[in-house]
Amino acid sequence: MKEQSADFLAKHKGLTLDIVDVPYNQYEARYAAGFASGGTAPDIFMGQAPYYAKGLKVAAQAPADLQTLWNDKLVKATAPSFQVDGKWYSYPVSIDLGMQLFYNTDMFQAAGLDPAKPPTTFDELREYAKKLAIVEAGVVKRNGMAIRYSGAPTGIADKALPYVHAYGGRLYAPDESTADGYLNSEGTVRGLTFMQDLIHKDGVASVKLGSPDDTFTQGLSAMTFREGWFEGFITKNAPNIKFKVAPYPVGPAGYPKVSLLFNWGWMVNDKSPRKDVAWDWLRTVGNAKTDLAVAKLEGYLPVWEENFKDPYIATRGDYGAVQKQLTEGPGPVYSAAFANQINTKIGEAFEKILQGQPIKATLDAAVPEINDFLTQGKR
Amino acid sequence: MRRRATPYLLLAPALAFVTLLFVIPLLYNLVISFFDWSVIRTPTFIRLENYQRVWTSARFLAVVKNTVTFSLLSVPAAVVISLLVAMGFHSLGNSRGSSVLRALYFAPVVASLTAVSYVWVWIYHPSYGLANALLNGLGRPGLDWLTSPTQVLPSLAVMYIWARIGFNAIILLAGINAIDGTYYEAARIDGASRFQQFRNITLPLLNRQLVLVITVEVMNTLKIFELPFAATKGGPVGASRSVVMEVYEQAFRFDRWGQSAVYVVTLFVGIMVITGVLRRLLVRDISE
Repeated sequence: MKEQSADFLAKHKGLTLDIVDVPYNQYEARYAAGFASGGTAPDIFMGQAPYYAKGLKVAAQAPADLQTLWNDKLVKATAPSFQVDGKWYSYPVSIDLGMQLFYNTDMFQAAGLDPAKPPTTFDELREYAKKLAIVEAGVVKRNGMAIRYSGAPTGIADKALPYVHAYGGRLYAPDESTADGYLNSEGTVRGLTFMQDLIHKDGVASVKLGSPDDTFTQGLSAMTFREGWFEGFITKNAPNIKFKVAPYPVGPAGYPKVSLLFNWGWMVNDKSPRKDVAWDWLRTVGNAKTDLAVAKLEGYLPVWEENFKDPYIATRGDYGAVQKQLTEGPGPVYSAAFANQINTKIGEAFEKILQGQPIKATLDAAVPEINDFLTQGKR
Repeated sequence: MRRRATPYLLLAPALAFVTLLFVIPLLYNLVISFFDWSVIRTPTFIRLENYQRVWTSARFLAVVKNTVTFSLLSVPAAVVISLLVAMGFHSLGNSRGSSVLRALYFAPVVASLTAVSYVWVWIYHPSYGLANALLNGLGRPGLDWLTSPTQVLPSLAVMYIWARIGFNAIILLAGINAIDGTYYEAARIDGASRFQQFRNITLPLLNRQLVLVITVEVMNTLKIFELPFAATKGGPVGASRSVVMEVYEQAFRFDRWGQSAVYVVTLFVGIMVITGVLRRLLVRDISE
């Protein structure tokens, strides 16, 4: 980003550009302090459109020329996640096209499974997990299927989406009016039952071994769901792990399409005295060439549609999965104003369920708190 | 006149510092607790609604229970172990290697609790961790440590105690070293056993230092944040979420600054009451 900003600085002489790295576990506190104080808020910041644009109302709507450009050029499957009421507020940092199935090919072969034939349905996923798990004296030593069961609650909710959607569930109503009948619907319950059963009934997933990212790269998990960036992460951090990427399986309700709770994008502070300059920066760095360069550097997927024709995409391990996701289009969109809070509450409920608590009762108990935030967001 | 003003003048900078960085924020926090306060929205005065919501919530009861449990697990063990270590240092005196030993015990104190957390997360790893490797080596099955709702608080307590032994031991050692040796000599002449000497001489004369250590540890454990935040994020299923973690979450995650302020006020009053009661119960006049 610093290199790509050279053109921008050449155009705006006398301006200094300060790019500040904020660790993930500090961003909420630092943004809150910045926006509350006013003077120390950033001109441009990375965040999630529903919360910062709709909830806190600190993000500015993109000007008309960028609305047209981004509508035309950026990946359409994920566009709604960066918009509010159809208007762009956020330029995507990367297109995380939702979850894909990562699986260890050595483990497949050792278990007598064909690495060229990953599971295509959730029932198959369960059967594969049973064959791939290593269990000793009732203790899971290797996950057949790694599940995200701890850490930031929003992450837990996000990783459960494929299961929920595969069984026809939803987190809350499309019009964001209520979570009742959605979060605690039969579909959601069935999706979470599948997850809970993997842990407590089939015994092929552990809630003790560690996060899926860690366990997959340590050779302690045979399969996991993760976004496309994980491919670059494994290659860089665990080059000994032989793996493939497949679209995630189809459930009774069909293929769970792309649905994001983490929709990180660049936004402009609506109260910035340098708003025009800030949008100009986004015009400068927001182009197909920069997009592809960043994608290659980080191991992400690009955000410009034309870059999906680049050999960089075709040679990626997740190419097939990506094509499937682009073809299928967007799934349920979760863009409630207080998405941060809602997703946290949902994640906390899912965490309890993964630890074995009764599913319907836990979801029923979470609904009123979530409805509180949904109502607050409508004010 | 000048003599009377001098102490206050000398105290003024410290008083100003405490007022600016403690008293004013505390009062401001108290004010916020009566408002529906958000980062962006205009604050709305809602009287005691925040107090009613927080104090009647299951979440409040859970975090208070977690915090008090952590304190009860950590403080007695930390004080007892620190006292034993201090007595051990006293016995060693200035013998060879004693300063190195003291430095080793003090080393964890200079590390931040966040760094301590990251180290212990690996020690506690179910598959690769040293803790389970040691247990397996002794023929025992591994434990779940930080991944178990019932084991997480004791596991965190072990981390905390490890990080604090050195500091407490140094304070207690200073107290032990200050005890006049003639008391022990007289007791030995009277035929007192070592335990009797410890109970009737060491403990009473160490009263001030013990009360200091206990009070500081109670305050620290009731305010615990870094350990659970770094090691467990308050999990699993909220089993290690502390009151101060909840202060953070209500403010920065849920944008409910008024409710966050209620937790702060409650914690402040709770610590004042508990430490006040402890001092009443524990402080002894050594001239008795």
